[in-house]
Amino acid sequence: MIRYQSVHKNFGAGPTRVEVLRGFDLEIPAGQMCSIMGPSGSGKSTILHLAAGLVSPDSGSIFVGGRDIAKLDEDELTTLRRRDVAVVFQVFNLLPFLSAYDNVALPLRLDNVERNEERRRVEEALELVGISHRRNHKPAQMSGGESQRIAIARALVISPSIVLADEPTGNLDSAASRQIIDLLRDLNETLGVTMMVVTHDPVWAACCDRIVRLGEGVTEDDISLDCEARAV
Amino acid sequence: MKPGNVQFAVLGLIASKPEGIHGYALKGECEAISDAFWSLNYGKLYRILDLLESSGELDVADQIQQGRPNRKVYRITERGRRTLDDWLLSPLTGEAQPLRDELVLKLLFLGAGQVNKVCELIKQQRGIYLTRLARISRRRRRLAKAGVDMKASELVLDGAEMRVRADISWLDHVERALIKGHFGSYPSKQK
Repeated sequence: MIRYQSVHKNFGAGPTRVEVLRGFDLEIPAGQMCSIMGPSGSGKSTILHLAAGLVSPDSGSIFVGGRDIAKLDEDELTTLRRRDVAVVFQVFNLLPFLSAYDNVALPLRLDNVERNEERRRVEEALELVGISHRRNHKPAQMSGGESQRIAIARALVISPSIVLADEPTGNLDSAASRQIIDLLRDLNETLGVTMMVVTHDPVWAACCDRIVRLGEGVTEDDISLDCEARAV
Repeated sequence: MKPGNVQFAVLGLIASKPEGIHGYALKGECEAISDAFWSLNYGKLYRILDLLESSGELDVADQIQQGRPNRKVYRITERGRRTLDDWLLSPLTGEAQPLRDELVLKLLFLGAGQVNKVCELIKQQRGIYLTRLARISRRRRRLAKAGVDMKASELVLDGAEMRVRADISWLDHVERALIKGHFGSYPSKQK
């Protein structure tokens, strides 16, 4: 579960100050796949970065898995990102000198997970995203779609309860985008992972259970797609 | 277009001519704004005008012409203005395709002071389109999971998806224009 309560966030100061969030409220129940849409500058990515603890709110609370992350210190935030909350970005952020396997294993090594356990979990994550056959390839040897699968496997290897995705198909062509959308939707349904996806693509957004549209730092529209779409 | 909407379009056009307008000129105005999605013959137009006159939405006066038969000039009444405003501010109805036409009409006749209401209509319509996209997406996944040969059905779904995507892009475009203040009023006031 992710919950934002009266969150305010500004960037800059003085005449360059930008008020991005103005008392933002949102609750995403556990297991839901929710997309965040809105025009450029409406605060979409800020919302995601707040839930990941990458930026702090100026005021208000953000509950992730029951804890107010605005009150966590740096060590606690690091633990949160290593064990509970995974982030998938538009740029894949893979280390170019590591194989696909080693890129996926990285979060476990940073968390000192034992080697046998590491192997089991990395193999399982590679299998889940359908990319086991590329385990020994370096990022430069893979397509954009394959690289994003590796990035998703790296997110899943920590068995997160929450996955945050920031324009995860923004660098992919339409065929690869569709495969990544389907993959994330399948993972949400089979693993029950709560997902928040920032996107500007209505097709992507419509694959989720719910679309929250931002305007001027608050929720402008909140559309549930679950019942109606499944009825057809 | 639904028959009811044609009636409101005629009322909107007459409302934009405080000096009144006769049937022949009105037909020209109808064609100028709506040629792409609406054809209206004289018989249908005069039936609508009679209907609007008998329900008190229009006033009719004879205009004397030298050497030619008199002609009827139509003006909107207060009652007609209220009817038009009620329609303009009412929620959109019907399925997605007629909805687009209905929104086009409402955009043509809504006044600049009603921008917030137009934004509400856009929001409502965007929700309808997103739900439609969700249905297409679910259908696509269901067919793929059922192992159905996707060649033809995928193309059909691609087409449906592209159309809805274009409709949403247009809504976003209109919304941006409204927010920037690029919004006129009734057609006759845009000159």
